[in-house]
Amino acid sequence: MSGERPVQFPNRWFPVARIEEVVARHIVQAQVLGQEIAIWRDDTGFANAWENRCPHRGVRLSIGLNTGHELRCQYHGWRYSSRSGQCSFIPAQPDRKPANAIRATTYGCTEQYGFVWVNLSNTQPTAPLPSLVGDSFTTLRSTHVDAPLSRVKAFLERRRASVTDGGPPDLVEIDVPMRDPAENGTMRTTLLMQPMSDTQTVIHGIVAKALVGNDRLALLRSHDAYLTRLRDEIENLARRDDTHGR
Amino acid sequence: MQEQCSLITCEDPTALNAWYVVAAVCELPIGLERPARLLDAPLTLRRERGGTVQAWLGSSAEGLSLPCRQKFGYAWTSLGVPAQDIFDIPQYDEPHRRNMNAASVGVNVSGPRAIENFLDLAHFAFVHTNYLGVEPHTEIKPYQVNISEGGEEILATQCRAYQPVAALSAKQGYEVEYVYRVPHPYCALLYKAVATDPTRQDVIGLLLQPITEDRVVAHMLLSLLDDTNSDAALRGYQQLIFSQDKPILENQLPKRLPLNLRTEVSARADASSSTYRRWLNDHRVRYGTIPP
Repeated sequence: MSGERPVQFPNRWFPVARIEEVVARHIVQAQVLGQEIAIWRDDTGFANAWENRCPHRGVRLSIGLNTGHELRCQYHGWRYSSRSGQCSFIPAQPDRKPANAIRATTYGCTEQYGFVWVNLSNTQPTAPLPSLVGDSFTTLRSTHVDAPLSRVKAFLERRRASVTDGGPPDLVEIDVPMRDPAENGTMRTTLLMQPMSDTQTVIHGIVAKALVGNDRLALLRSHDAYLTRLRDEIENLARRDDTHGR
Repeated sequence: MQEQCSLITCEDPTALNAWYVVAAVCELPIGLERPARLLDAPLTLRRERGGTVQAWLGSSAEGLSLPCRQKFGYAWTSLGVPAQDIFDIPQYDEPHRRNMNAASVGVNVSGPRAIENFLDLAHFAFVHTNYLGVEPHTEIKPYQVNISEGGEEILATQCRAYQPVAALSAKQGYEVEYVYRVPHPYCALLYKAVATDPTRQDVIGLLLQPITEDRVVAHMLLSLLDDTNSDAALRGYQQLIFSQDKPILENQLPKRLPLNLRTEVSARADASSSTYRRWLNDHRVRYGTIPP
């Protein structure tokens, strides 16, 4: 039934959104490995990551309503409780308590390094979150690329960054050129990969230094310009390879 | 002939041998060819000056001529050999009826998902808020669903819903009684008591033209008793209602309808939906569905 997981997902964490995107009373739509996810924060601050689909008639929960402690489906008003995903109310039969088996599919969800991380597997215990930086860091802009993860990683490898493979998540350490050469013209940046689907990847970024004011702005702008160029190059290469039937 | 047949990729005999609406006749230009699609196949339609409509698989010059009928103001065709005639709507020919196509709207969903939405009572308060339903009137009282003896049709009766604006002619909210009919895997009809005369029934039809397995054109037939509102106003109200359903339909995952009754959770109010899924499976409808 709703608890069935036809696809076996790996026991690992993926960054799927930046924390400041998951604001109160909002529902964020994300995707990892082709699986759509609805991310929403309850009024106590807890972040939920659920399969983006009402178990009743399959409507995306992300077009529903976040009431602060429940998610309400837009189609028939069925409500699901924060944390458990348990259906708490079916308006068409208001006097009947919904069966225990009726619940939204929930995923592991945690917040760290400025990102919301999701683990799709139902394996226990869940893998530990990777240790990336200390307490001082700056979270960068996330960039969407129309290319599969394998292509993005291959491209970055040629850029001679250190690419971690096998050890989740897919990390890339890279020296991003800075327009404002406060750090000898470059800054060591950790790129985090979110494989959205077989054709799309999101690149998230973080630097191990807390910056404020104009320094932070300069860093964000440099990183933004660098990643935009990177994205264009990867997409151009992917297009060219596709044209050549590779 | 061989060439035209290769234009048909649909392999579902039930779907192939059914009649489908492909256009509202009065909306087809006279003497001009118009392309259309049905079950993934390209069609050409032409309405002649005399009023007849022709349909071809492929082009009019080289294509295969398809059977064509006109009924309820629509042109119907089939890619196969229909075993049955197009179903009847006895009320349609009654005097003083306002018969018209409310709209033909492309919807990014499978036909069966759209039919199921049309049969559904429990979404009124949430999708058609302040029109066809409103909280706290959300409870769906038990209703009857039956399949006709020969298995041709589904009939749901004693369906009741409190509606703030049941029709454009309604002056106040009241509990409306509905009857639903599914005489065809891709067509459904509803009958509801007329706001101004509870002894007679308005009829609304959802007649689907499946373009692909997860895309349809929804043709909406109105056969109403209303002597005050203009055609434009009557069409406009139906278009408003459907514009509220469309974003819901286009956000259903998966787009095809699962026929295994355990794939999606159902409640008592979903009796029509469950029967429709079972009936589709009994008729081996595979186009736009996920078999159990």
